[in-house]
Amino acid sequence: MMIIATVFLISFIKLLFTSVLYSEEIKIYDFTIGRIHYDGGGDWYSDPSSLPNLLKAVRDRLGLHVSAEESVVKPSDQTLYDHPFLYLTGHGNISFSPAEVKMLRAYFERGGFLWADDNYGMDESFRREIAKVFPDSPLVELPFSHLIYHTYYPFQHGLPKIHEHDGGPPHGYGIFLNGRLAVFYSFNTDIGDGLESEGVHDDPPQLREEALKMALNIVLFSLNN
Amino acid sequence: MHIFYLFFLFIILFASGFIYLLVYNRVSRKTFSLLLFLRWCVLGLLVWLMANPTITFSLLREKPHWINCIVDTSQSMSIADEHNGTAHRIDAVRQTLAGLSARKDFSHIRVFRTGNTLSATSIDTLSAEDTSSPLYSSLTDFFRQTDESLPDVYLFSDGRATDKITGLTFPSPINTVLAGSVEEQTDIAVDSIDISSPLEINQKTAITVHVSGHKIHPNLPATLTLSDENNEIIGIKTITAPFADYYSFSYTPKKLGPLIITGSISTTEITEPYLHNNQVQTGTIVNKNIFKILVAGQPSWDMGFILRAIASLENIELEIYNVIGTAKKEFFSLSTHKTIPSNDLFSHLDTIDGIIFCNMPLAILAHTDTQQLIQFVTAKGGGIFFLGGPDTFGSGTQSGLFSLLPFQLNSGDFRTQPIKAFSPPSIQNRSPFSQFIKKIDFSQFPPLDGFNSVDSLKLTAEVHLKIRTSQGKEYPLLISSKAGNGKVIAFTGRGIYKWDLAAQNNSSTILPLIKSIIGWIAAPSDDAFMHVHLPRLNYSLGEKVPLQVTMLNALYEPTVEGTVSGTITQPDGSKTAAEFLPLLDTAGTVSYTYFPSLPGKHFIELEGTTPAGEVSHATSYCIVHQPTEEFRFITAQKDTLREIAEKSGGAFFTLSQFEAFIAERSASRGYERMEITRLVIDYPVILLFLVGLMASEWYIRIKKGLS
Repeated sequence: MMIIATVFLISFIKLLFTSVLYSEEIKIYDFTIGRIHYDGGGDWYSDPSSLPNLLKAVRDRLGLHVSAEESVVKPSDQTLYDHPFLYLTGHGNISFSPAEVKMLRAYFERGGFLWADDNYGMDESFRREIAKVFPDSPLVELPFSHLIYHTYYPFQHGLPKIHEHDGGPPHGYGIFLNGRLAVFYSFNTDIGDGLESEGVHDDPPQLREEALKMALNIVLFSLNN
Repeated sequence: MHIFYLFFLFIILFASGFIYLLVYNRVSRKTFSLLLFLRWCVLGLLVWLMANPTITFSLLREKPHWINCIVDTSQSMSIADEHNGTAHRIDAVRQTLAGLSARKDFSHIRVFRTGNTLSATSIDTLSAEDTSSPLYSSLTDFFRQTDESLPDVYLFSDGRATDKITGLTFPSPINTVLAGSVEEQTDIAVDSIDISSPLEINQKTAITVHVSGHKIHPNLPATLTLSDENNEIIGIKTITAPFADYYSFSYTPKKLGPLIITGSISTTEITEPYLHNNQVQTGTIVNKNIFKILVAGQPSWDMGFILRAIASLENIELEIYNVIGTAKKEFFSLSTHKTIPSNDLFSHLDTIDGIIFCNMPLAILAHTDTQQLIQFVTAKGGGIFFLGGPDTFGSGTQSGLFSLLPFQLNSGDFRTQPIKAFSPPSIQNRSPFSQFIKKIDFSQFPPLDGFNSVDSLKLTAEVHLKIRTSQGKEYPLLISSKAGNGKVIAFTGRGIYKWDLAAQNNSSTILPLIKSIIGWIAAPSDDAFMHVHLPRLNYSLGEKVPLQVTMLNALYEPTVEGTVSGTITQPDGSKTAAEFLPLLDTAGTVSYTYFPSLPGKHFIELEGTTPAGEVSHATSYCIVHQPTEEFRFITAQKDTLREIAEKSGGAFFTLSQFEAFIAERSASRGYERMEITRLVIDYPVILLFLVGLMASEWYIRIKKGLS
């Protein structure tokens, strides 16, 4: 009885000591996603299951330590700098304040990366607002040979077409800062729809798989550049 | 038999007879006589054998028929003639001799090779590599070395003698066999291709080609073609008489890596450029690549930060490998987009200057991988930069790379907690990157996410940065050490990307530090702030060796500051001072043109001094070869061989005639009587006889009851 009591006592002290010693313990991840909460009225929160599904694929297929959910950051938050990978999507209007433009500019100059995915209807406002951040670096269409289309899964013809809205081929645009691809903009494909859980948008399985592979390419590209 | 042995025999026989008389009364007279006879036989035989008696007899046996084949092994014998199929001359000779030796009646073949001195060889090892064809001196050597009658001497050659027949007499007939075509071979040749390697990718560069022409008809234009290793034409010109001239080409390399340029001549008569009017030159296409770095590990923000830092360096060529997938057993190449096993990845470290492991799971490396990495650092002088993480170092002595690491870790050593870095003021070190550490205020940097807790350092370790936990305990953060000829540096923290992303104006502080660390691990020695460019390893005597040295600053980027001096040691030990002058079109690079006067290995020792007085050393070498004329006037010279045959009383053949001649001829069988002398004791029967005598005596004595 005394032995059992002693064992329990030692275990309790050890547990107490450990919790005190590592009270500041934090979780570290190889990769997380910061979803941009922008102003202007657009639904920045659209495709809610897309990023958890992507993060799960990053963990399952690439073997990286990732969080289960994305973080939500405003461009004016200081926590913006804790998220080297930002994701922006929606259907409506986007608006960056001057302070946010300044913050975002600094973010990109320090090595940050943004993937903007047009969920249908944000093209005009995104182009307008991102031009404020990069007044001297326009969006340019990336050639099919660009590494982002071949980082892990090969896409010989550029972006896959996931969800039909207005017809026409998908386009992948980029903004380069000092030779580095800082912004990747997927237009007229709606990768985010394809990342959503089965049945949400009725995308066929093969297109959802294509969307997931392309998104994994973007993730891996950002971790290597 | 010598008189001594006769005397000795007499004494022995007398003594034994006397002793036997003592036992005379115990046996019958008949038995006594028999025993005495047997004992005398044994003793007599032994004394006889002591005198080394011999037996001589004669035998009649077949006399071996030796065929002596002297083969011209000059480089021109490697030519494949236009009108002779694709076989090279030396291969045709080797094939003929192999057929000859396969016949039982011609199996005794002696093979000699010409060269600077005649030497015996075998059919299998015949190769055409001598830079000259001293046929006459080889024949002189042959007859000097042997004095026996030589009925069958054959000289296999293309007849391109580089010495003269003057005063030569032939003690025996020499049959000559012509290898190669006597039809005229068009021997216009590309003499040399001059490229300044390494070539810069996407930069236009000049290639100068020297052509010599001999038998092309003056009215017949020739086409000079330059092609790369994939047979893609990179330059083409039509040239006319006089052909011998220098021709310039402009070339813009489009891909990195080795370059093999082949220059060839063709005319309307020669539709396919053939082997030996070509000239091949090799070079390297670089992207200002002073260093080649391999980055491998699990993709993470830290890895991305390091790769962005490297991308800001212009003089580094990069190979990136991701350890991904749930098994994490293989490496995914971002350049080839293929997955390769670790043993393939680490088997080509000869071309790598430095390695960066980003949270690299060392546990996936096989024993051979770790051995290659240890060899890479300790023997080759490479460097490894370890970036911290839960998997980076392994733990304790379990890590295969323990001998390289500047510290020892305990198991479960990775701690996830926010920690701040600081530069310990008491620690002084003279590493090139120390100056950048001193410029950084680390208190302004955000805390790291975690660290590998280092409890014990090796004696050679230098600590450059430390961390302090909230409990006040300090741990090393940036630690370097030498390992054999190479260097290892470890950053034990996790989350270094925050220093770049979350701090203001950090690009001017943290990036130079990372750049300098990467340059430090990649530089060939601890203080080598210079890079030696030598276009290639091998040169011909008389050819100039252009030597270029680029001085580097503390960021290991080219700088115009500093001076370079050098000494070149020739094969005979004599030394030449190398005085370098600035290269006008390449900032930071100085050049010296060296003219070797001796063939052999030339050692180059260089010393560079920065304005701050730091001295760097670098070494290199080049190999200088005797020039050869073996590929000029390449038509086989039958007149030379016919003359040798006629003057010596032999016959002249072509290879096909020789084969027909041998096929019809049977080797003349001769017999000789041989006298053979052998020691008697070498015959076992003598010993058996001796044992028989002793056994008989022993048997009789036992039977008669004698002791």
